[in-house]
Amino acid sequence: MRKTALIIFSYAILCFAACLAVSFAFHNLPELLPGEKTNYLVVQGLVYFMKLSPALVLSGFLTGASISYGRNSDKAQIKYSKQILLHFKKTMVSSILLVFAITLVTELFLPMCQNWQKNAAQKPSLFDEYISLADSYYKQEKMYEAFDFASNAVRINPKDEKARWLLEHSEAALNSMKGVEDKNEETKFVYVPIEESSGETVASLIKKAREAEEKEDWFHAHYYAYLAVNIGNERDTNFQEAKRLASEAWNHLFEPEIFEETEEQILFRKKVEAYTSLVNGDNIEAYYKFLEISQTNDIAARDPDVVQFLKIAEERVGRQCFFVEETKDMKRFESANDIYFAITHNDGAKDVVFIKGITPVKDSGKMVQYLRGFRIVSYDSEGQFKMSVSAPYAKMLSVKTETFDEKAKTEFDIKDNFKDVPYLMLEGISRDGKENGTSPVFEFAAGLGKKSDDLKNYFVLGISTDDFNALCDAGIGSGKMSLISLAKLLPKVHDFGFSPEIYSSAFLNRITYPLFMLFVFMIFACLAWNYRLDSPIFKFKWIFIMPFISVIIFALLELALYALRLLNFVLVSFTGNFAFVISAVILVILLFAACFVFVRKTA
Amino acid sequence: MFNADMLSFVTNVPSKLISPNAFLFGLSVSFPLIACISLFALVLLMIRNRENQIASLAIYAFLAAATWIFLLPFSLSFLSDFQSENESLSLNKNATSIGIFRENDAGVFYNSRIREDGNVDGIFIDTTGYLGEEGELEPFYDLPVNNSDAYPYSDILVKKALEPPKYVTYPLAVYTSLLTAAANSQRSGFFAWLFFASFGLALASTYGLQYLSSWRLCSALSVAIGQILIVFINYFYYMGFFPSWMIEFDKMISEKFSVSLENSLILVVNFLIAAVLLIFGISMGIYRTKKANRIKNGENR
Repeated sequence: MRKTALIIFSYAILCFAACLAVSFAFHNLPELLPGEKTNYLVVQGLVYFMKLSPALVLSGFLTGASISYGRNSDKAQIKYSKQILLHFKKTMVSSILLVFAITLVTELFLPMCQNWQKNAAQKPSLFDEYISLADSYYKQEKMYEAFDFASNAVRINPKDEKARWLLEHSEAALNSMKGVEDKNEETKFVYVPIEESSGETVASLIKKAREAEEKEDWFHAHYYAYLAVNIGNERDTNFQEAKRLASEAWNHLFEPEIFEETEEQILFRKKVEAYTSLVNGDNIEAYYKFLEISQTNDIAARDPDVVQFLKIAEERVGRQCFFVEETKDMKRFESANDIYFAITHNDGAKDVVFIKGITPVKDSGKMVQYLRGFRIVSYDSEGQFKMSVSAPYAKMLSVKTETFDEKAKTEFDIKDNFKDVPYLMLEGISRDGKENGTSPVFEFAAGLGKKSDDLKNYFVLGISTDDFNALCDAGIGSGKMSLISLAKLLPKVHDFGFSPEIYSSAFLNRITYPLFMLFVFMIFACLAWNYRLDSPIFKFKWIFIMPFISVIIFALLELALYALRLLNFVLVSFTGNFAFVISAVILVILLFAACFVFVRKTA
Repeated sequence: MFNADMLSFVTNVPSKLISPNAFLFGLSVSFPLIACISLFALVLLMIRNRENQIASLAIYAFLAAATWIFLLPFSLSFLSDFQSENESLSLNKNATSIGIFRENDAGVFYNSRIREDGNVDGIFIDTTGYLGEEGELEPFYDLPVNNSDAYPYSDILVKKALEPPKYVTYPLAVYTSLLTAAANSQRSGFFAWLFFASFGLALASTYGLQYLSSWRLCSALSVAIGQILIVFINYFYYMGFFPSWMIEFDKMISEKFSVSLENSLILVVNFLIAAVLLIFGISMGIYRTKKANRIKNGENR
């Protein structure tokens, strides 16, 4: 058997060299980063070699075994002789090892190399995008963005001079700005805590409200008193005081109008309008109103009330919507395109979801993703159109299931066994004014009418985030998906609108592959015994038959695997999940038969 | 046979497993292939067991002749009768299922319901800009089912799942064209068939290659390679890939003898191959036997 191993090994090295030679001689290279050409060609050679590896290993096995069985074969005069049983043991062990290696190559290393090639081919265009963005932001003196894109560019191509120049200069500019930026950070912290009233008590808020009242700053007096009312309750001793302060400040805000307003009075009236929206909970409206005020003139822009309440409104809006400015450069970095799937609800109703492109936010671990061209169409259990929602852009957050109340859970069919669900913000707010924002469009089936309840600016998909991410992978096809994500998705494929037969049979093909190959190895062991080399001398010219054997085996193997695929598809189509059992049983019987035939061999 | 069965299969729609027509069709299409492979396997068997060589050669010759003169014409005529009776295997032209995405060249179809008259409602996702704007969703109502892009299957999903890899398509194409050529010769009468059957003679004479090497694996391989080469020579001839001077030569000869027999060139080629292989085989056979005897005698002495 050592001879077999030696033959397989040296033949494999020779073939790898041949694959490398072919890859270097006849290449059709995509555009690559400078310095990656050699790597790409070596990987290409590896890919060729790995694609051929089952046939190569089998032909090495066949010749090696044929030579090694030839020696002392005369001793095997009876069935189940000691000689043949020894051969069987060795053959079985080496077959299992070889099958394991082949499976590892086809399931793990081959996709890895192909992914590497795909990434390498994408790098130049991605790098150009990053560089051009970094450059344009640098020229606009937006150093944060310039630094961000430049560091991405350097990560892809660390040797590029321009990328490094941009990175160094934007970093230096950022460092020199640091004093200003730090100050900004500080003010942000004071004015805009995540929850505006967190860390405050009713008493402390009332104190702030009183201080504002003394300065006749009615906005802040009302705002703090109003926050105190929000977090306090009837039993609180200060609660009545907070209410009194709030209503007093409110009355001051709405003092009788004066017909000929001064500029100051106009500003005050506009502030009151905007502030009213904020207090009423219409945060988007409040945001736009304060934005408009701040854009009228310098005095308004510097007005402390406007600055503060604009920040508060922006913070609140940020929790409901996203800013369209965030999505500006997203289309260029999409990780997946044309994603579609269905969500099947318990009552049989279905939502069909389509997304033109997905951009995950870097380093967020797919927690935040931007969905371009989002569209969802709902059908009832009879398959009749119910409603559709579409949005040019949506921001998807992965939100814990616990954060939803029972009402939301029933409305969006969120099951308790989901860990996180995709929460979609459908409304985009623009910093340039209302008309540049994007909002979702709703359509309803005739007769259903639209209830104002249905017109939300958010949507929750009734699947788990894990499934959502797996479905984005499914876009690349069942043959290329990793075996693990395929197995996870398998029980649910039909609910997601994909053919269970196709995914099951693809899965079946891939898990029965090792068993089938083991069977093939045993068949080849029998062949090797039948056509073993009788003479003790191995003539050198026989080496040249190896490539022919490989070619024939390659073709036969492809045919056999195709036949197996056909058979598995038929099995899955007509017997459903029993196919897994049937296919396994058939292969095990075949394997045992081949083993039996082998051990009965005589000289 | 299973492939024929799959022609009428639509994802997620129950159907019957065994249809007798599909079975007979599959059997008659694959019979010539099985017969040729059996003859090939017989040669391999003879390489393995070298006892009673003359008897096994006689049996082999008899089986090969019987196959090519009686069995194959019979199965071909059965196939053509079968094909003319059942114009095409029943395709499920109008069947479809709901709740599954089906992607074709233009975009993705999703049927949400099937009406009583068989028409469907659903949605079309325009991923290629087929209807205008790329990425648009077009709902459709009350449309008839059209499975034409799934031909020869009834469901495009099945077609995609069962599409053979290119290394399988090519051998299948070779086989199909040879089968067509065989059926044509068979229809043109017994003599035309005999001309085609010279192909069988050439194939069978690869028997001679079994003595090529003292390593039996090597001999078995050379038989396989020889057969493959002969198949390709015949395939190239029937596809019209032969160089023109050979065809001219063919014409010249048939004019000279004032007989116009179709395919006489391939007859000559196949006879030449057979003659070379057999002469080679017989001489090598004698050489190997003598050598083996010498070794045996040497051992005995």
